[in-house]
Amino acid sequence: MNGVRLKSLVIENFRSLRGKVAIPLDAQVVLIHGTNGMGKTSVLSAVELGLAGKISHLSSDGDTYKRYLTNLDAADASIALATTGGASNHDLGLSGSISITNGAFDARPALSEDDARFFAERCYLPQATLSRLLEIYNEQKASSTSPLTLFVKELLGLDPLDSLVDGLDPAFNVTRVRKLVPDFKRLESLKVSLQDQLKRATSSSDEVVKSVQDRRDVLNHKLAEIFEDASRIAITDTTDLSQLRSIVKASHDEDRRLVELARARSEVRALSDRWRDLPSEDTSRNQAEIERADTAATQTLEAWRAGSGVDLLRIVDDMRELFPDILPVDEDPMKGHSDALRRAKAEEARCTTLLQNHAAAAERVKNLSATVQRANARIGELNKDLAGAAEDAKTLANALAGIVPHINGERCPVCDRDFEDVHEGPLAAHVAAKIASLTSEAGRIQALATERAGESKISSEAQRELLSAGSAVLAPVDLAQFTVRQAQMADFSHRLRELAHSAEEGARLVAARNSVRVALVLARRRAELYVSLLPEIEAAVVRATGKSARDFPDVAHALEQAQQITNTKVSELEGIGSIRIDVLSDLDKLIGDVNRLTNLRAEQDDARKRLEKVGEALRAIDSVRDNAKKLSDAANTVRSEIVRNVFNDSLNKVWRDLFVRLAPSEQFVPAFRLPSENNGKVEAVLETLHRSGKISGTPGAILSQGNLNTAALTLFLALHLSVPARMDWLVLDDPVQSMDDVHIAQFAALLRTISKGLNKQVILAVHERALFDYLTLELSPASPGDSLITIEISRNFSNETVVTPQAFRFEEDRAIAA
Amino acid sequence: MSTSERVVEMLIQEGGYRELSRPFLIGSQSFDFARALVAGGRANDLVIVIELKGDTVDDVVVRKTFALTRALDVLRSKRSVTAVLTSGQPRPETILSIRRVCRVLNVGALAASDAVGTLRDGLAVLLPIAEPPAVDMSIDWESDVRSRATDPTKDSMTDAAITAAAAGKDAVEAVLAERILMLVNAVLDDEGES
Repeated sequence: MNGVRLKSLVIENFRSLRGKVAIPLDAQVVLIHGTNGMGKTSVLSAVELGLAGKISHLSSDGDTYKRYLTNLDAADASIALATTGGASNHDLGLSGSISITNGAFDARPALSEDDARFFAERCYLPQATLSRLLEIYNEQKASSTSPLTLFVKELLGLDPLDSLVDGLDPAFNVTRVRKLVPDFKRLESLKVSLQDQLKRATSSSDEVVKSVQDRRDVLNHKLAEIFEDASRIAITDTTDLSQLRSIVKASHDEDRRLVELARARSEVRALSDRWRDLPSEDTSRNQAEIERADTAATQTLEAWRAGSGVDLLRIVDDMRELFPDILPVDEDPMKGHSDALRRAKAEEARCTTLLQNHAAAAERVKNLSATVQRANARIGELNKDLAGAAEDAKTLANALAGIVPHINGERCPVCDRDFEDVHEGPLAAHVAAKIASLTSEAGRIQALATERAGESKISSEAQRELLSAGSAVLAPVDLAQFTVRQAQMADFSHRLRELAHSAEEGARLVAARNSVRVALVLARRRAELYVSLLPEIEAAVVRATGKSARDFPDVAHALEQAQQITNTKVSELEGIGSIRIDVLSDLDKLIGDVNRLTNLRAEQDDARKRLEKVGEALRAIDSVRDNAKKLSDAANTVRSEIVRNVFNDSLNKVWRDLFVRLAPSEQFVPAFRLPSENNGKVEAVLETLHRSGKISGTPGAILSQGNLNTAALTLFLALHLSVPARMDWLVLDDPVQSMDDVHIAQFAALLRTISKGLNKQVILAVHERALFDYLTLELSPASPGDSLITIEISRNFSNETVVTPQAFRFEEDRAIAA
Repeated sequence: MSTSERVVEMLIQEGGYRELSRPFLIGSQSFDFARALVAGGRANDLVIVIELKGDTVDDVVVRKTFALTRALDVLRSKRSVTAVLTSGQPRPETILSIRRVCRVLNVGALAASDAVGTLRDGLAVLLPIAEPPAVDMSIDWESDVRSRATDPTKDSMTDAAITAAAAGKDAVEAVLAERILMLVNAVLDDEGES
């Protein structure tokens, strides 16, 4: 917007301006004069409103001020502001307008919001602000957003550097790193847990190493007990444990030996038992006697068989033809005799019964045959009677009765012929008569049939009885045989009864011989056993004791010794076996320990490796943090340098230059001081410097009121000049109120330098007439193109505002010869 | 070099002034001051340098100044007059008198140390304002930061952070977080797999 000037302002009934006034502004310098209350400030406020749409230093308290913008004597107010076009031909100039109608505030400002803010802060100095300016800029706040700081940041465009410093700030503190990257905490706890794991694995493996050592000592000790060559089999670090285990396992012959011994032991035990169980020696002593008795008994028996027993034998042989399974009498004559007798009696009784039954049955058959013959004859008669009768007479009668209701007149309902043709009375009567005859015929037939059934029953019963009776009738051959056998059996019974004593005698003889023979057999068996047992005992005793059984007092003693020795060997072997089992179990445990040790070592290695990785990552993160810190520090340093440079080289220089122009004799010059500590914060404070360069107190403490005012005014101008101007306007509202003459003269020169030297459009309101005249003179155009407008604000008789503008153009000064 | 000579030299060299011949004429009247200069360009200042020497009579100085300004008034000149007093110290009444008709800069005699600075301060109001160098928003802070934060590991974070700086604090923080997270995840992911 450079090159653009404020051009014109039309105000109506705004604040203390009553009526409508038009104020030309299109000049390098515009001086506005009016006594207090005439409306100078209103004009300048109108300029701000037209440009910005609001009055900045009032709007901090809200919009209530807008209610009091209209002149008290009027209802509506309006402002119209226009600027010239810019340097470019296309730039037609801006215009802004405000209208307040019945309290409704309508603003169409000429400037964008950004430009409006810039104007309010850097181009327009209301009286109210001037008095507070130093205060505002020296306000110390805890936050970094004091107006001065804001200005500094805006001035310097330090946001990226601030972002860099602030954004990298977490790198300085591990807590903030954790907050920034929550997973970082996980990494750290992973490290701790890995360290723990490593520690645990190490301590566990130490324990296992110790346990391995202990077990190995115990095992070596036990192995020495099992193996004779213990030095060869002892466990060292290089021992292949599984191989050793298979050696220990494979070499266990005590099982086999134990089996052998157990067998030997049970053999010895069995031999002892058998030895004990041998029949007493008494039985064997009189073996010869027994032999003799046996011979005698046998001879007596044979004599009986040839003598009194021969009849018995013969009878039994005869009976054997009829009874093949009859008991023999050789071995037990008593039993054979009684068996034969019983059978003979039974057979006799059977034959008797059969013969009696036969006689009864034959009589009955005779009677029954007669009955059957008679019944059959009567049935033949009845059959003849029944043949004449219609078998279904009754059925036909029923059918005809069913037809009767259908007979109407003489027409037959079956054949449709007229019954009258027959001339035998009415059809219905004929049918009724027919039914009656049929019914009586049926009764007779029924009686015949009943009788016939009775005869038939008698006949069939008799025939059935005949069959059963017939079965008891013997065939003629059988009759003869049974008759003979009855007699034969009676004979046998008789004879057997007579032979009863002889049978008893035979039985006694057989028993005597048998008892002798049992004793004989026993004696013979003991002799056999004794002979067979002795070599077995000898072998077993030699195996067990290494000595012959004959070396012992007797066989029983030898067996006892053998048993004892075998038992001792068995328990020894069992002891070794149990040690071996212990060794195997210990070996298993040792192998387990060694495996565990291997695992633990692997675990240690793993944990160590992972820890290394985590460590690397943490170191890498530290290095990232270091880089970030370096970068942050660098950004901080660069920022501080920039700030220092800008403040020292730029702002302070300009401020000093301006201040010295207005207060040439003041020994203390106000300045911004930057806190020397390099903590990255840009917080400038105000101070004064003696011209010699020595630092002094704050401006408020050092400077006089007038010079304080000067300091504020020059600060405003310095700030205005320090930023690239968006617009070359400087609007000042009576800034010289508390200035003395010297300052005013200097101020006039400064204004001239700013307007003409720096090409700013200056709009200045003053209330003092003399000063107004002086400034009119001082600021009058000094070169072609230079211009000045003075505005006199006053009131007419009707108390309406009157504006008297006057324009000055350059006139060549001829007072001094060139 | 006397103070007045220094004044003239500074005004000519730094202020673009032109020295008038001695004596100089206003209208038909002749005026004689130790030195007299007029501004060039867009200003119409008339500067007179008055040396206060041992034999200077204050009343004469006052009268001469009054006469000069009166002559300008008569000719309706709009030149503003500045009187620069050098060498000795004027009496207060003298300054008060002169000040009624023109701007007075009492430079006096210059001390040996920083004579030029003191003089420039005294004459500042007559000299053009050195417009401060516009603060360039795009000060090349980037290369400054880079040159300071030399990164031996050639980590690209410097670049990324500087690029992100334009987008604000959060963006830079995100760059830092990303770098750290990358390293953290490299391990945590491995752990997760194993």
